[in-house]
Amino acid sequence: MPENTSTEKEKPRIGVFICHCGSNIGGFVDVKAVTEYASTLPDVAYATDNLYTCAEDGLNNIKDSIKEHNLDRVVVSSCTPRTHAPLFQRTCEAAGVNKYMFTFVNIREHCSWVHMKEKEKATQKAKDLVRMGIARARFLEPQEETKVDVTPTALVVGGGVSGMTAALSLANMKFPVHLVEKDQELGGFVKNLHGLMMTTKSANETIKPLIDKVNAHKNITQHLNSHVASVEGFIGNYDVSIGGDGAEAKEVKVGTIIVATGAVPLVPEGLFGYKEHPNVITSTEFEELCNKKELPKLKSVAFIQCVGARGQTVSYCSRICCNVAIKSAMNIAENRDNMLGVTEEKAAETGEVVEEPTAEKKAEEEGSERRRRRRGRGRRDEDEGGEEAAAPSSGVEVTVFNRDVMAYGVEHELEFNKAREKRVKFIRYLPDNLPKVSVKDGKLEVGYFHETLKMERTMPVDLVILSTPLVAQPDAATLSQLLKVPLGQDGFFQEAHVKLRPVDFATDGVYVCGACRGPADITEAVSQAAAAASRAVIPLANGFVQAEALTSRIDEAKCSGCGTCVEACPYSALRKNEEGVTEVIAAACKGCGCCGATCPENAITMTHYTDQQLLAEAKAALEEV
Amino acid sequence: MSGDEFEPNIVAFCCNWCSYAGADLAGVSRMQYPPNARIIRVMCSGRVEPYFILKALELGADGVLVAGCHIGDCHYISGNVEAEKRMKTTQELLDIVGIGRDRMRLEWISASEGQKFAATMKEFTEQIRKLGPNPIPKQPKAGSIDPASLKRKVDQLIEDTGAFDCVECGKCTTVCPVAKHDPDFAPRTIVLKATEGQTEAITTGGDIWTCITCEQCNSMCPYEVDYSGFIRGLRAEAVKMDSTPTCSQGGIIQGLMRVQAYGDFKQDRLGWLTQELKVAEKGEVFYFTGCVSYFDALFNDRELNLSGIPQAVVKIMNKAGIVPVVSNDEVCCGHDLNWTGDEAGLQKLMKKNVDLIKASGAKKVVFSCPECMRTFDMDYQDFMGDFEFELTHVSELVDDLVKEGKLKLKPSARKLTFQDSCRLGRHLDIYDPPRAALEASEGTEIIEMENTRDKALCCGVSAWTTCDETARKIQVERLKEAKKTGADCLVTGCYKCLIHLACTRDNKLEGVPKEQVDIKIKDLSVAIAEALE
Repeated sequence: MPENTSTEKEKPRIGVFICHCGSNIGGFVDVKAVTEYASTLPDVAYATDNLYTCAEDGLNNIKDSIKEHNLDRVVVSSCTPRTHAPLFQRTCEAAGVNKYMFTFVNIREHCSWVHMKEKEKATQKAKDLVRMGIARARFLEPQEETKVDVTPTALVVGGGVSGMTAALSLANMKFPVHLVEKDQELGGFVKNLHGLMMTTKSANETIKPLIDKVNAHKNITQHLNSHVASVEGFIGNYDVSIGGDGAEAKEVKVGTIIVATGAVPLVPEGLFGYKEHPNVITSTEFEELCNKKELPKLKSVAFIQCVGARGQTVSYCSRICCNVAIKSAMNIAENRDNMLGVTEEKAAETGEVVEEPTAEKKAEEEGSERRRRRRGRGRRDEDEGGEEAAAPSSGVEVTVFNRDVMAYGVEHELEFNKAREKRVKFIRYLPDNLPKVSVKDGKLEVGYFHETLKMERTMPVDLVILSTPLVAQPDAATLSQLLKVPLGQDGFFQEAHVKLRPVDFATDGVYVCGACRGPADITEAVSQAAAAASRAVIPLANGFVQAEALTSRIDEAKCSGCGTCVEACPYSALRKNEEGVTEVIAAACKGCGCCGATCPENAITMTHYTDQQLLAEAKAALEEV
Repeated sequence: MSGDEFEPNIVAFCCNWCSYAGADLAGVSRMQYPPNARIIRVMCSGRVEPYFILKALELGADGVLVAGCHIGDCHYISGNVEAEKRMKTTQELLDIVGIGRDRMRLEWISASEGQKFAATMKEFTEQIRKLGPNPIPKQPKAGSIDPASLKRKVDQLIEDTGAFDCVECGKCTTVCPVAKHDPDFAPRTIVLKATEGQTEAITTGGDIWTCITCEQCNSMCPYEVDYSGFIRGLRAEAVKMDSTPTCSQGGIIQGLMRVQAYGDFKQDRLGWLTQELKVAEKGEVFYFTGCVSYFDALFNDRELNLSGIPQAVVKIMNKAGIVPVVSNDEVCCGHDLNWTGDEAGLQKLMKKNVDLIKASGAKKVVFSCPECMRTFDMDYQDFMGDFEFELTHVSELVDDLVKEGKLKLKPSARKLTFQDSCRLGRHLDIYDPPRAALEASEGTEIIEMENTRDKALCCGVSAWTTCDETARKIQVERLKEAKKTGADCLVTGCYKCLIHLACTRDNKLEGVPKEQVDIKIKDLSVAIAEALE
């Protein structure tokens, strides 16, 4: 490695600023001695110490010294770059020195604070660290941040509630949107449902306005019966090919992409007598039967929660099933919209009386409901006596076998309480003692161990509804490969950061919302979709993306196109060009340097963390003084 | 550092997002730990090359720490997974070369684990303190050279290699595989520049590192100019002027060789030696295995089965009643140092190897690596005069044994094509024995490629320096030739031909249909051993 490129170019002029940080550094490191030592090192044009380099005085000192001593690079030796680098970089820029010509040396967190009882050794270490910083500074090069233009159009994959919401949000912000839906109509998973939580409207009624708006919106181009066939490019500049059933693929150019492909319910093969008895069905199938008004005649219904979830077929909790079961249980108990199909004719046949609640009675019920809510906890005591009105109006016994009810949130917890008032039974089971569904004398029954009573029990039922978790779309893996975004271990799309970036992917330009990143109810899906749209619109509205200045660079003459780096890159920021040589997509590169470390030909330079800079530091660290 | 007790020098590569922040937290929490480590900040632990570890040790670090985010928490998704993979390889290499894996450590330290950072510093410092100072001796610097001495040296080189005899006919350039793909390169212009006195320009320019020293030019030159010798001589001077090659794999291979040359470590290079193989400590025949264990560790992610090569050679010898001497104290022959300008390193290695062979009492040294054999035959003997022991390539040995009736190979119906390596063929002039050894198994048919024997195309890379686009083109060309023969398998005469050609075959190559290059590749010794009864 050539030691002195400086002889060829102009000699570097390094300014070194060493901070006392009050007594934080000065109390344990002989800062004067370190400064004196720094001034003897090659290429150091100026070295000084400051009481607080980050204070107004210190910053002015840097600016003035740059001019006075014609400095072309700056080393600040103080605290940690993780908090203070931007401040000093701005100071350098203000004085006309490119911010990448700055090096930070940490002699506080990494030296004075951790060697408080060894002043001599701490001073020696500080000298070593400063020498390393100066060695690095010698090889620094100015960097420019570049901009890449953005195609002001978005792609939304999935025409369910999340996808439609996201598409509408973007379209309303006046950006053209391509909406790809694999089914022949919009609506996603929700369109097959009957009733929804927290609303008396049917599922179809609820989402119809959304579908109408999407259909009417001039900025949304729908691609039904279609799928994403291929994706090339990077943030701001994607070339997407949309394939249809037998139709020729359509090519569109988009700037950002939102994934909203939803999820599917787990099919509980081999669990709790599913498929062995026609009256053992999943909660999704229950919704379909409700829609078709084909429910069997019901006297007793059992829900079994967590079927295949939480450590059985899948490891996670599907979050929404408790609330769905509470909703369905309530609907059955109240025979909402006459869902049990007890028509007047049928009633005449069977002698049952169909109660059509009068407007008056409805208002009364709602009033009492509001009162109950206000009363809160006190309510149960009053209920102890067992009011007649609390009994299920439909006369159907509903039991929910559960491991524990997760009715999170204010409204859902109240629904749960309401369901109990309607005499919906919630019976707990333990995972090592599951309820058993069997048939006796042609009748379905559920056997269970009552944990409180410590008794084996049996309950005859007409219908068993299995609450199964939502699982990832079977084709999620294909899409994840096309978009080069990750799936988590459960097959759902994985966001960039679980807390701080919940609708972004690590790859810039691609966003996620709805059940494709994990089970979500409609409320959550809508908020996520709005969030994803607001994230996806940023590059579209800006019209450009700022590329990371610290990207890897490829020496085309050295690159043999072996592709090792392409595989090592976590961001798919490397691709082969037409000549078979690898190139960096600057807009996608994050500057981790994994490619540089893996290149067998040393054809990749990781800007600002070059082999030369890092090895110069190592060499300086080990120099004998 | 002062004091009586040994104070280790530790270099710590810390990722910006987790472990560097962990170190910050240790500071903020005033957790005291020994002041022995010097932190180098990288954005991601995935940035750390195996060579960085070895280089730090070469520079005198007593220990090297690499710290990153916990698996699953990497700021760059999976950079730390890459780091883990690379550090595992590095540890294996440190074990083989005898430095030992304990001198390096990989830790996952999150930004909230100041405690763990401080504890790691304490533990690791103690660990290194116990190990003692890094025993790699300081290596001599390449030195420097003034223009006048350089001129004298180059003039001598021109004399030695017959470069003045060049009549500019350009035949060398027409056969040069590099010139074919890189029009800016021509062997003859390098020689011409030297004879014109432009010595500094050629020693600091890139051309002398672009040459793959395959000696197509030597074999074609009507005036017998020794181009490759000329290039080798120039390289030895160039390094004194800070002109260095770009080495493959970051230069770790040369680093490992320098450690063998200048250090005195107990290696662990016989990992391939399985129980059923019979070897001795002293005897008539010494089998010089070459750096196969190092390559095997370095390329462990590819299915090359490099360990199968020495295993095959010993199996063949055992079958013929020979129990060869195989030594863990063998060191690298120095070929790659010699061809990257480090003649001093070559001489150090030479002395160790020759002493070892003399002590074994061997009268014959068998090689399966043509580079080792070339280095013994030509370079060692240049320095030391003729050896008393005989140098034989494994194919020559097999050929002799078969002819003497001491080794029988079973018939096998196979169609093979043979890759003459540059060192085995043009450098050592061994063309017939490998073919004879393969055909000793009845039914074996050797189908020659379009360019064969002294016209054979090279694998494109020599001394781990020229792995580039040109190399890739040369390799593709060679693979296409091999595939075109219709043979079942391409048999290679050199470890490096195997590594390089297999690498190209297994890569996704733009514009090269897989079926044109997809051929099974096997080492010569392995192919011979297959036909053992």
